[in-house]
Amino acid sequence: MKTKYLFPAWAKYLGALLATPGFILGYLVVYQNYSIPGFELRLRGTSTLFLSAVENFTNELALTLVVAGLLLVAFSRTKKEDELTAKIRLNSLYWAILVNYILYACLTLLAFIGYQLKSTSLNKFIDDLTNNLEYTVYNFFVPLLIFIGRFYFLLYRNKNEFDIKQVHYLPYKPYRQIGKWVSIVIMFVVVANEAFNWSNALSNLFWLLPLSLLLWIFSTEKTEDEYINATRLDAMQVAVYVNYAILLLSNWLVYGIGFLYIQLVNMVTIPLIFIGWFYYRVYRISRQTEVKSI
Amino acid sequence: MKNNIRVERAIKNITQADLADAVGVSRQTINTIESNKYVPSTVLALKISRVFGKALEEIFMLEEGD
Repeated sequence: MKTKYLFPAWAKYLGALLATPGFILGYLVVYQNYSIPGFELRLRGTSTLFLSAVENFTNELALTLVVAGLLLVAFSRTKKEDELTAKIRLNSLYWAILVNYILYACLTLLAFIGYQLKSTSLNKFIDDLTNNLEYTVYNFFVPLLIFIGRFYFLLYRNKNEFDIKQVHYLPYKPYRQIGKWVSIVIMFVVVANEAFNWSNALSNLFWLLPLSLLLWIFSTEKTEDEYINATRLDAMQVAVYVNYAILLLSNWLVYGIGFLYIQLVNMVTIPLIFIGWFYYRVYRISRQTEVKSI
Repeated sequence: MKNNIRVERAIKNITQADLADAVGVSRQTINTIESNKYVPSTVLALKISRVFGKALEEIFMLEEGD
């Protein structure tokens, strides 16, 4: 089992070189409202409420540097890439996505508790984090950061041997069913609500979607064997790649309120792409075995 | 699954690094396999047994509970 689609080992250093100025620039943009003077283009004839005529590209540049840099660090070969380092990489990736969404779950729970208790200090804390959807900006790169930390920790913690941590999954029953159906219902309601404008409260259901998707992708198949498991780990890598490719593209093509939507949808794209690719692969496998058994 | 790579290495008098080079993996991977923490792929297991010139079953064996 060799991991496919990796960058050469030196890309790690290039990635660090890109990400560091990216983070500094990103910090200046988000917290100091900085923008590089003159680094802009007149894209439209007139300004509207949601789209200004002149677009400054500082924030696009910062996000691109951070995401591209972290991707290079995360997915470059180790000095001696072999099947075990590949396995550790994929396990770390799955783990990182899990931890990322658990952090998100804690945040959602805190927000809910703060709202119920009307606790001012808790609400203030949540407001600071959720102000201007800042944490959805974090969601652009936090999964990669967690992954890089985990992967290199497992590789270098012990000089003599690698530390293999198995990924633990929830049992098929009942978690797969719950995760799947709750996700489908939420997606249906949220999309229908967007189309028909039923009520504002219903659109809040969207914030639960990452959690039900988490149940879905972290519970096993009915028969979870070695091959299904390998497919699962591969699919996560594909999902992360596709997710960030789309993100980098839309970063340069979509502006203003449109990009806010991208930020929101980005909360669920990794699990969604994963589910799509994983089931496509599993379907292909089942077709193949049928043909051969005839 | 357990294995006696460590014993076979001693007989052949090669280090973990030698074996790692011969089969194209890192030394840490050989060590992790030797300490029974990682089950190698079939390809890697076959390569290792070829280095020792022995049949696969003489080097890797199933354990109770596998």
